[in-house]
Amino acid sequence: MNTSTPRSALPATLTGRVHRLGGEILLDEATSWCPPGVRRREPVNAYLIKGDHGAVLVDTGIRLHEAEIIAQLDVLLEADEPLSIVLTRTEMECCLNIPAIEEHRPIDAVWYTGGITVPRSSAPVQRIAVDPGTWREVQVRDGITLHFISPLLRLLPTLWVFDPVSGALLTSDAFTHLAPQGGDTDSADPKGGLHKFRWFGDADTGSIAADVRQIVHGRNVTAIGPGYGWPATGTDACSLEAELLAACLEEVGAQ
Amino acid sequence: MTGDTTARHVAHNVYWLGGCLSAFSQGEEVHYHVSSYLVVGSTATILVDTGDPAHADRVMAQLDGALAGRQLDYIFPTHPEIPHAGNLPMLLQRYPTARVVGDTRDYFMHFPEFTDRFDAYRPGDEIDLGDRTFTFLPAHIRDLENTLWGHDSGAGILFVSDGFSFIHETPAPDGEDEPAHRPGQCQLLSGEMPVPPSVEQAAYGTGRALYWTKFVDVSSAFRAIEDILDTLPTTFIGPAHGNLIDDVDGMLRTSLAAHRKVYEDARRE
Repeated sequence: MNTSTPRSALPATLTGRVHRLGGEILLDEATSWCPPGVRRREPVNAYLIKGDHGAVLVDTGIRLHEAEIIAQLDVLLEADEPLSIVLTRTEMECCLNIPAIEEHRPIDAVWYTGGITVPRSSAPVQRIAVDPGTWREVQVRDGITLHFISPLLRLLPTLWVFDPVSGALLTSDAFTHLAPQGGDTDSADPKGGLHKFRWFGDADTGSIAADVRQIVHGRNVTAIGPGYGWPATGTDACSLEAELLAACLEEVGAQ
Repeated sequence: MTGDTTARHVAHNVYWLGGCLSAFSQGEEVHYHVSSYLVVGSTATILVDTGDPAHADRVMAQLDGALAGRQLDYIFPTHPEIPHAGNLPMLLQRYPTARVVGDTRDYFMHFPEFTDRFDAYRPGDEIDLGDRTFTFLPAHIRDLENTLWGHDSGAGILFVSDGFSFIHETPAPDGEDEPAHRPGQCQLLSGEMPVPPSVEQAAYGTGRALYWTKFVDVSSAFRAIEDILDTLPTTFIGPAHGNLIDDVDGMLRTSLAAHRKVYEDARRE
């Protein structure tokens, strides 16, 4: 039986103006992205980027953590503070809390990529198309301009979101293998984060690995925030994790 | 899908529900299929995929009509994406004895209020519907790992979720990531269309909805699909994002050629 434990009523700071929201799940065979034989607790994350004139919520967390997400937003935001949402994917773990958040506070826009699934929101919904392997700079709201990066490391239409002000790179369903700081580094095998991407074993992954290196090494990344799993912080640590993941991609792929 | 609220009866006690959702591409209206299928057995019923909340009212009306007073016993979302599982809460409320079946990993986090109604099935497992059997199968063409296909023995339909997606006319490329087609061709079987789907039309949907196929030669997956067809008599292939296929041999060739085209085109980029 898979259970959830609230991480905390309080959100955690990722880096600078970016905060990590959500709760934990028991990662085991009831979760599709769990590597074989693993059983441990891990967070499922949304991120809040706070500007001077409003904030941007990147993904909305899973419905299991609906109450925690809303409580954490209340800690971080004034009741009337403008809020926009950016979805890294239109998969369920990213967007199903939009209605509950909207019931609690106004949302002025929802940004998403893809086509077949349009997020359900009473706010204006803005689709953004970014060709895989490229990125676009988008002013999501006054004071918050983000890089919307379309990575090659993906299953579905996916955005990684980079905040140049803080250096936070929010990586959706990639970099999900990281260990908690001070935790068991044995669990931080990049292969553990690739269970969702099993097709890599039959693919030439050279260009995908190169894209990971280019995205991280081409920016001043101070923190990597995955949609599930633990974040990495510090420029050197982020650079190292990118290299380890890229090398792993090259190793698992059919060259 | 003979009307917005009437499901199309496509084979013995099998109904095609859902329909197309509309979008605009470069100023032109294009459609994309988001289909569900209802199989009515003599003792039990099963719904394959739930449709998207964007057309929930249509799906619910079609389902009510097709059930004709019967209960919905099983709901099989082929995988936990919104076009395939997004209407689960509404369906579970409307049909309080229905069970969610399939690869039910992850659903606990998306629909925590319904965890006591999820039953895990694996490839090879069967559900007895009375005069027909529903068999769960591995999804040989998929995006999410927790995807299953299914087969109905009564009408010989292979339900393939995101597999065998295709369009009718190819809009000019503009970065769209999903299969689409033009209005007026939504409810036709593949064999009823004026011209059979071409390799290019199948490739359009394949390359966008199944991004990974740009990187992988899927010949082995098609050999596995042919093994299924050799084992389970199949008259129709029911994709979620394409017209119901009644020319199985022809579309098998077309779809494989489309995957090869996607892969080879990506190699040349």
